[in-house]
Amino acid sequence: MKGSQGRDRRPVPPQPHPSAVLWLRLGIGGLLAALFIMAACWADITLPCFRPYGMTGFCLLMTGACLAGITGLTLCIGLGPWQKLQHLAIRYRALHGWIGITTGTLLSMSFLAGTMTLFAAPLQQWSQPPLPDHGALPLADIPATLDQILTSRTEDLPSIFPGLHYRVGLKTSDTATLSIPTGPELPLGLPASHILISLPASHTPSLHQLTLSPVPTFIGGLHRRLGLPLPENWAMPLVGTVCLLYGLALLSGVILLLPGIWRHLMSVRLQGHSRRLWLDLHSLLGLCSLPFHLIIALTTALFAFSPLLYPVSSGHDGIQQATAREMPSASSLLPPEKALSFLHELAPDFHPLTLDYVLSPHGTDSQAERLALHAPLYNANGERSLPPAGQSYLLAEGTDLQNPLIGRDRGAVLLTPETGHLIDSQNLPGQQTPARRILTWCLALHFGSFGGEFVRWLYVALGLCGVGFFHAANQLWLNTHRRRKPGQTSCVETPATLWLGRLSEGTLLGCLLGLCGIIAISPLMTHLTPIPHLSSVSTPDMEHSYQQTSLAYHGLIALTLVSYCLLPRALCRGIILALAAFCLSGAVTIVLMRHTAVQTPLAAELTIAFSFASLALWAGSLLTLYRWKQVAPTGR
Amino acid sequence: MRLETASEPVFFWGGLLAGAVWAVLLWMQLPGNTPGPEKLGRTAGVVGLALSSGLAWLLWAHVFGAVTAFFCLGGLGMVLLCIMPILWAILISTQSHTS
Repeated sequence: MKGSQGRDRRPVPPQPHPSAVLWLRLGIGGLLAALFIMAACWADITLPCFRPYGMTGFCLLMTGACLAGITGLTLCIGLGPWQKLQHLAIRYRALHGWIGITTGTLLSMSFLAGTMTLFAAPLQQWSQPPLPDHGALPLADIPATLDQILTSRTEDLPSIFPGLHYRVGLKTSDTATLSIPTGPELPLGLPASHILISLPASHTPSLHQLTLSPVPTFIGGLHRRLGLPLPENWAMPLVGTVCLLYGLALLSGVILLLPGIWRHLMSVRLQGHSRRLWLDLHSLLGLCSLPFHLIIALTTALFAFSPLLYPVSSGHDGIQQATAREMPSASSLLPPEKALSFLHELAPDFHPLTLDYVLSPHGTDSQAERLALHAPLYNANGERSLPPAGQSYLLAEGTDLQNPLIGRDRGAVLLTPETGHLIDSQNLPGQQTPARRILTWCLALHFGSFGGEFVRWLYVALGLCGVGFFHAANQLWLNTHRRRKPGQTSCVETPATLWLGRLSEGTLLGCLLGLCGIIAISPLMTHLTPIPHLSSVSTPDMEHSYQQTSLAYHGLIALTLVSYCLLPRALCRGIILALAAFCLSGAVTIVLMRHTAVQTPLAAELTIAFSFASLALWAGSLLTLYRWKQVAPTGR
Repeated sequence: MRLETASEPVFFWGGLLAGAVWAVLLWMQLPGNTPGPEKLGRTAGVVGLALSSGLAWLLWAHVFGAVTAFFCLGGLGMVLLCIMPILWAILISTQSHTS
């Protein structure tokens, strides 16, 4: 009797939250996160201590608010008394799974595209046709060569180039390429065509117009919008919300793992039930790359929310009107050698890659311009990233191995082109204020823009591990939700698991095929045409090329999804991998036939990487098809 | 890897080797299905971990700077800890099939 009473008094193990309570807690957590973000905006507008920091202060406040939001959201779900860690973990289990299955596919596509975006600049170089000989000019000859070209047809110039912009691309310590972009350009935005100036032996400059590929820009957009076919400004609120939920899923995943973390931390059990394998893979990849995922969630929330909130917070000045000025001669500007020696004195570790001489009146960097060029809406420099349209400037961009870079692959400094005086050095690596340096580290940890090429390849591995992490999460959810037959060990598909399984795998492989497909057409979208003089420049319709790329990508995704609906899954997997391998091999073949595969060290690196990737895809495809053929009589 | 290997090749490759040793030692100290050699005691493992991580950081600090070297080492550790258990599981599974 006594024993029975003791059994009755045993505490009932806590149950997971009923769905209504879970939704309520999620709603309260969401409100809390919104409150933190609004408080950051309020603090930026109201508190005088943040004003001197401008955009840097706003970004740091927003990062803090997003971190507080993710933590608050996680705490709201688990709030309440608990005796054992298992009891706390049980409150998160259902929510963790649902966030995973609803956002996992989007995030895996974004990670896959993000891995390619790491190579945005090398991919552009790789896609280029063979460049003209004698393209590298002695630095000392550049001003005279420019003057020779610009003075030949001066009367036409203002209508072609309202604000002349020329770019000196440094090759060696004393030679450089010289080009004139024919339109506005923004980092990772649609590129303008360039006029390349070469100096053959006759010392008469020859001109070529180079039309660049929109593919790196498209892949960048795909990465930022989580693969959603929406305009950037529509997608951003959704991306920000997904990132807060992604952060919540990461923290709740750690809580779920904590009770049994020491038992199977580094185990991957290949034998046995597939659910256990997916669980092992998901836990291993998630826990070992947790810091990377946390920084990605946090910074992406910052990228998504700050373009929406900064105009509210800053009350920006509006666009300043440009005033037309007489175009100065190139020889009256600071010569490239002098600019380089000045930069070396200013920051010895900074290796300049390009010098952009932008003469007034030039375009401004606004949200409308960014939308038009499909560039990222987030701008770490705020609305005043460039000098007013009436002021000329010299933009020096480059890398630094010892310091983080605020851009995707480079830091920058603004000088006056006439005298070399500093206009803005807040993005010059190694010369930043502590607040700007903290923000630069946050962004560099997202972009992998520190430690040079080595870290770029580490980020490729981390990105692909991320794709595996989300795919394992989806497979785990599907395995858990398949219905078990009474008295049998095997499970049967429910309509939900069947279609979700096909959708998640089809979308991911469709994204892979789409990316390989557009990489294959990228070299075909670039052109190099000789032109007699500057007035014969034509303006290529880059928006049209972008739309064609988008059509090709979405067509391939649609094709994959349709085949996943109609054919057996294993057969589909094999075919799609083979198609992706075919596209990538085709791209490498085109570039090899054009003799541009090893045109630059970066192009050679990418050729080797794509060759290995296509071999891996061929191997994966053949293995999948072989296995499918073996089980075909029963597996179909 | 051109810039880092071109400027300080000995420091870069030495740091990479020491960093890889650090990640392997860390993996072997963690629970689960790891090689865990019997001769490598807990104390020896921890001392090896401290020494290899310190050496890797010192060598890379020369190439990348102190703070950047710390994050590079973290990145390398994350990548190796993600990949090694999978490769080990495949290796063990292949060996058990062939024997």
